[in-house]
Order: sequence, then C-alpha cells, then structure tokens
Amino acid sequence: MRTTRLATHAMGCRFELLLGGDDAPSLRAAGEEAIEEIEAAHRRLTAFESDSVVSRINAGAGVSAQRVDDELLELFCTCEQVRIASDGAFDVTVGRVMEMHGYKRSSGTDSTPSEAARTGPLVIDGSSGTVGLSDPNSSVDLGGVGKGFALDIAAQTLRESAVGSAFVHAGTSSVTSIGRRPDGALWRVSLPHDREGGAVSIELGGVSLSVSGTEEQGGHVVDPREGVPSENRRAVAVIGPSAAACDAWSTACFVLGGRAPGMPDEYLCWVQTEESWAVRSPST
Amino acid sequence: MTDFDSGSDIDRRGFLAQAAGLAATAAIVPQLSAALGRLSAPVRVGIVGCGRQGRAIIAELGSLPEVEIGAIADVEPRRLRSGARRARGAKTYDSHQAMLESETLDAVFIATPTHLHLEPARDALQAGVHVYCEAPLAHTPEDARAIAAAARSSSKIFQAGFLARANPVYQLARTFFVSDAVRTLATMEAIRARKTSWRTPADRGDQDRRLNWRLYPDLTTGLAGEWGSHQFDVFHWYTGRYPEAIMGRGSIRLFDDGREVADTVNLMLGFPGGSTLGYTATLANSYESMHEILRGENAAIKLAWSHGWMFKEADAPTQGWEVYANRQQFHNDEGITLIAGATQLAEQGKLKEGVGLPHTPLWYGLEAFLKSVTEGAAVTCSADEGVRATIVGIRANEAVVSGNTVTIDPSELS
Repeated sequence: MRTTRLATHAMGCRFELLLGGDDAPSLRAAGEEAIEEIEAAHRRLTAFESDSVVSRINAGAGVSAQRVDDELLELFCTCEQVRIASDGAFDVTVGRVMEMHGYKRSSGTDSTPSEAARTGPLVIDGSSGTVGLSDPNSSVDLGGVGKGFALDIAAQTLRESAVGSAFVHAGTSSVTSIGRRPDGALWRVSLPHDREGGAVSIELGGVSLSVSGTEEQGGHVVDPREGVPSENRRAVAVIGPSAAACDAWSTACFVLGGRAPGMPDEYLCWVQTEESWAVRSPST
Repeated sequence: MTDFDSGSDIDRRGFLAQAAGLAATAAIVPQLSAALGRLSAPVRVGIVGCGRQGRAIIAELGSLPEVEIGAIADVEPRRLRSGARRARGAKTYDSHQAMLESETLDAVFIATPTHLHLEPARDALQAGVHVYCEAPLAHTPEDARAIAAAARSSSKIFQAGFLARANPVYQLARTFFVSDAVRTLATMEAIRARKTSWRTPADRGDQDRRLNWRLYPDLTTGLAGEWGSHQFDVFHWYTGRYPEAIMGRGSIRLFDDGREVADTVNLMLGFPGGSTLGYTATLANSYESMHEILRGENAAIKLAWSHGWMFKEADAPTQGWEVYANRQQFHNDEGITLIAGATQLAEQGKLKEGVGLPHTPLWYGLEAFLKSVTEGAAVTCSADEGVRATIVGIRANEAVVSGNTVTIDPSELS
C-alpha cells in the first residue's frame, strides 16, 4: 500500500493529509473532497471575513440570532457543553478578549479584558437551528476549535469515500486519524518534552489528538474566566473520538493546568511534566 | 429586550445533564432565542443535485434572509446525505420528479451535472416553479436551446448561473468600461488555475460515469466549457460581442491517470473587429487562480471575482475622484481598487473596508435570482444569454478536442 499526500493552507496553518491505499487517483479525489471541506470550514468560521457565519453571529450580537447548519449547531453545542463542564475554562465567547490582547483585529470597545470576559453566553436554539449572542458586547472566536472541526469533517468525508487509512493534521497541533498506517502499524505522534529531542510517542488508530501549549499556540491561550493570558506553561494533549472536542478540552485543560474535572472518561489527558509527559486519568 | 442573565446557566446545565447531542439542543434557553428574533421563510426552495456546487448553494442560501430550503434531491445516496447535513430540516428525495410531485416550492436550484440540466429545468418550469440553473446550461447546443425554449414558454423566472453579471465589482467595472475608461480595446486575456484532479471518489463503471462526468468526453464540455464559458461571458457582457473563430490546444500535463479530457488548455478567441481573447485553464497549478483582463488605449481593467482594479496609462486623462481612490501595488504597477459603493464608503471614511466583496460571487448570483423572484428585479443572466455563453464554451471545447479552428456563425447564437 502506498501513501498519497495532499495539503492546503487554511485557518492560518497548513493542513496535511496522508492517505494510505493502492488506488492513487481515487485517494487523491477523496483527499481533494476533504480539502474542499476544510476550506469551506475556514470560510464558515473565520472572523476575518464579513460573510462568515461567525462574523454574522458577532455582527448580530444582542440583536438577532443567525441560522446555522446542523454541523455548526453541533459544534456550538459541543463548545457550550465543554464551557459548562469546565466551569468556563473554555469559552468561545472570548472573542472580545482576544481582540484586546491583540490576537484578533479590534472592532473597538471601551471595556477592560476582565469586563469583556463577563459578557453573556451563547444562545443556542436547536428547534430553529439558530445561534446568537444575547450581549451586544460579546463576540465569538472559534479559533480554539476550528481546526478540530475542520478535521472532523475532513475525516467524515474520507470515511464516506471508503478511505480506510488516513492521518490528517492541522499545523501539527490538531490531528485526526482513520485506521492504521499502510504498513499496518498505528499512526504515531511525538510529543516533545525538551529541546534536546526528548519526546513521548503516542499511537493513534481512528482517534484524534489536540495539543495546547504556549509552544504550539504562541502564547495566545486566554483564560476566559479572567480575560487574561493563561499563566500555565505546561502543554496539554487530549486524545478522544472528536477532534473538535479534543481541541476544546485541551484548551480547557491547559487553562486549568491539568485534566478538567468534567471531561468525559472517553477523553484521555496527557500533561507535560518536568521530565516528560504523564497521563491524567479521571481518578488522578 | 429580555433579561439575558436570568438563570440561563442553570437551564443549560440541567438540560445537558439529561441529554447530549444535537437533537436535544432545542431545549437550550429557547426563551432567549425568541427574544433575539426569529427568521421568517417566505421563499421555499428546492435543490436538485447535492454535489459540490449543490452544497455550495445550500451553504450560501443559509446566509440569505427569508429563504427556506424545503427539499433536496439527488440520485446518489451519499451526496443526498451530505446535502441533508447542511440543509437543516429539508426533506430528501432520490429524484427531482419525486421532489416536484410532493413539494410545494417557489423555486429550485439546479446543480446536477451539466448534461443533466435539461430535464429538471424543463420539469420545474412546467410545474410552475422558478428556476436557477447552473452554468454552462448544457453539454450540447440542442439541450441548451431546449432549456431556453422552456424558459421562454414559461411565465416563471429563469436565471442562468453565469455569475459575473450579478457581481457588484464586475457591474462597477463595466460602468467604467462602457463609459470608455479603457477606450480603444486592444486585447483581452483570462486565466483559471486550480490544482485539482477534477475527480470525485467513485466505484468503477456506472457510478464513475455518473460522478466523474467531467472526465468523459461525450458528457463534458471540458475546461473550455465548464470553466471558460463563465469567463467568456464576462467579455460578451462587457463588449456586446461574441467570438467568430476559436483556436485551441489541450493536453494532459499532470493527471495522466487514464483520462482523455485535457487537464490544461490554451485558447485564442477572435472577436469581430479584430480583438482577441487569450485563455488559459489548467488543473496542474493554482498560481493566479482566476481573473480576466481587458487592455485598452487608456487603461487595463483586471477582474478577479472578489476584487477588481484599473491600471491607468500615464497619458490617460485623470478623473477627479482618482485622487481619493484606494490603490494597490502589483510589482511595478499601481492599480486603482474598484470598490462597489465607493462614494458612500469614502464619505464615511471607510473606503479601505470596501476592498473585496463581503460575500462570494455565488452569493450575489443567488441573491439576484431571489430578488427577481420576490421583487420582480431584472434577471441578471437570462436563458438566452446563458445559451450564448454555453454554446461558445461548447464550441471552444470542440476547438481543443479537434485542434482545428472552429468558426461560429452568428446565427448559432441568435
């Protein structure tokens, strides 16, 4: 079995797809469909284009909810579930705070970061399929889950095209996998723990992984509870079935400095230690 | 407005403790959502074909107000499922006939393969439904004319999906062109470049022919028709002229996977009066993506779908507004950015914010169609104009396939 490689630029990083199989033209076709989905996810989520879903939600803050499709509705529900379960350590309504710290283009506001952190939550109505912000000073930023969302859709597209072996990553910090490598082994990811090349190797077979840390994310993880950059310096990796949820949980765990108490058991949390990496199980 | 803080977290926590997943989310603070305002949906539409273009239409319709996607149809179960994930609440059908028989729709969007436009377009018009049909309209002149005949015999709106005509940047640039800003037209050029195999995952045999129709010579209009016709139409619209002769060459430069359809084409279209259009399309490289250029005595206009620029000659007369215009540097040239609504934006000091369109070209095409349906606005691209651009694309593909010069008698386009 050979490997077919494709890539695209989206969400400020490089997405790369490694697809295992013998029918290279079919694999490439499947990969191209997945890439189109990744690029479409970028257009839906970016806060830098005025016609994206996120921009419309932000523009309608305090005024009107926006209709979203089922995939986005599910994403917003995941975000809300993680926000509640993590006691606010992850919160996508952190957009205004991100602006204040210079991580996003500013839309102009007089409030302080701590005031911005106390803006109202998302308003999700499953019956009408709408998402909105009740607080006119609130703003959504899906930067914490966008890559995982795109990876989940890409993986679903690949599975629908009967791709049985795939490894897809977004800027190396968010990863998803299907099946095993073409040589039959599990997909392998290295988590570096020092600058001398020391690393822990993690094997993935059909699951996703997300890493949050100042090395990976340039120090722009904000604690949404306080509206200030997180003081934690220990990277966190979360492994689980959904790449979007891994993204959200890894951000929450990073902010909390360890496994989030409300994280479901099916998600595994690795935390960087002085010497290496260690698993934090629910009972740890 | 409702007090948004009243107990919302408690409601969510209680709910989420009992149920997870999409269906249950209906219970999340509905009272707050009601306070934010509901969407109404007076125009009920259907989508025929849920491939890439159909899904793109579904996505864009989601951001247009007062539209409800009532139903979607596709013969391919996988595509139907994929469309259903995006078209919330839409009923699904495995044929357009079943959809038209069962549903009360105001309009349909036809996004089937090019060679399968005729039947759903004709059936929908006969059922008294407005039709937006993707472009090119057909893979043969006969089918294209049959669609136009069906549109003419119907009282319903028909819009062909040649999108430049609904694009605000292209509309603005055209006002400059027709007001002689370019002056004597010397030459025209266009390019479309995207690195893609043009394939869709499919089983060999019937399904491959159904899904990868663009790679079957008897079904496709090739790069010249599928891509080129959209760009040729820009020049038709601007100049009011159609090519009278087309030379073309095509070859498989990258995707030598058994296909017979060229992945790279070069064309020269000769127009009455001596001007020519040089056209390149390739699946092997993505540099410069997609643009059209009109070069004239006083200026060149470059159009890139979401952006447009005018490059003035040094000896061209200067207009007063140019002093305040936004400009962009391109290597050794400086382009005046063409901004829709520039006067108003300049008054507000927001000229730079107008650079680039806030929506996709498809969005403007769909919006224009819906305005025709709901407000009686003029159709941006009629069936007759659609047929002309389609036939030019078909004939250009003939030039590529044959390697001969193809001449177009004006009667073909009348």
